Amino acid sequence: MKLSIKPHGPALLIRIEEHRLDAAVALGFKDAMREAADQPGTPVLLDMSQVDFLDSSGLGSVVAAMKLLGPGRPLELCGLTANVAKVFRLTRMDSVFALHERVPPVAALGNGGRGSTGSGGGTQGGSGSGDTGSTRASA
Amino acid sequence: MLALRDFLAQKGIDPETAGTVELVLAEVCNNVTEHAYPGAVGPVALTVLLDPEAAHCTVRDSGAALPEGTPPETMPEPPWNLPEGGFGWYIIRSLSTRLEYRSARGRNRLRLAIPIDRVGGRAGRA
Repeated sequence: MKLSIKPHGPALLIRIEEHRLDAAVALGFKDAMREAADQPGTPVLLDMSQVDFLDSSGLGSVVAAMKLLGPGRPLELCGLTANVAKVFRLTRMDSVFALHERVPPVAALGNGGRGSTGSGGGTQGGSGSGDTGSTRASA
Repeated sequence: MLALRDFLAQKGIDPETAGTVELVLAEVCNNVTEHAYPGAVGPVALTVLLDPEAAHCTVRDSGAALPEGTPPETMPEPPWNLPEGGFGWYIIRSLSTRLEYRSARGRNRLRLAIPIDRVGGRAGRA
């Protein structure tokens, strides 16, 4: 399981560099996340924009990653593609995780989104004006 | 599963419906691998028949039957002690209709249909 890991302001940004997060790779993902969690930074932003297939095992591994980070270090999900978002919606896990349409800019992290664009500091940032542009419309 | 995706695309199934078919069948196959053939290898036969309204799927295996004789209906409750599994059947049931399970003489057969919004091609078989 290939992840790219880097600091993102106060956060740790982890991007899944795979197209599928399913039963075949769920364990590998969990292990890779355990290793990645050694790096500092909070919240942990998981960029899922490359993933176009997620099954219940993949979902379970994301839940496992959240649990291993613990309640003091939230796992927030970014760039869910349509197929992936559907699984989160269906299982109501979309209410458990903070979801971002794309990776939020560093300015929106930390102090409750201090003054970047006024509205909605962080979660569910739908406007997406000129930030990192890491989402891809995967049609 | 990748062959299935190509097949559905060829038949003009829109990507979202194709994603649903792929997801449901992946969940069924995961269940077969984990529970019908635990720690072993065994045959699974997958048939997908398309008509304008639905993808009719049949999955056959020769492994252990479902313990209750029928697929479970419950879903794990979020949160906080969040489950890492148990969503499979919930996903299958949510996205399919006409679910029907039969187990006899060491053979298991699961049938279900996945509604299709629009199909460009004719009915086909995978």
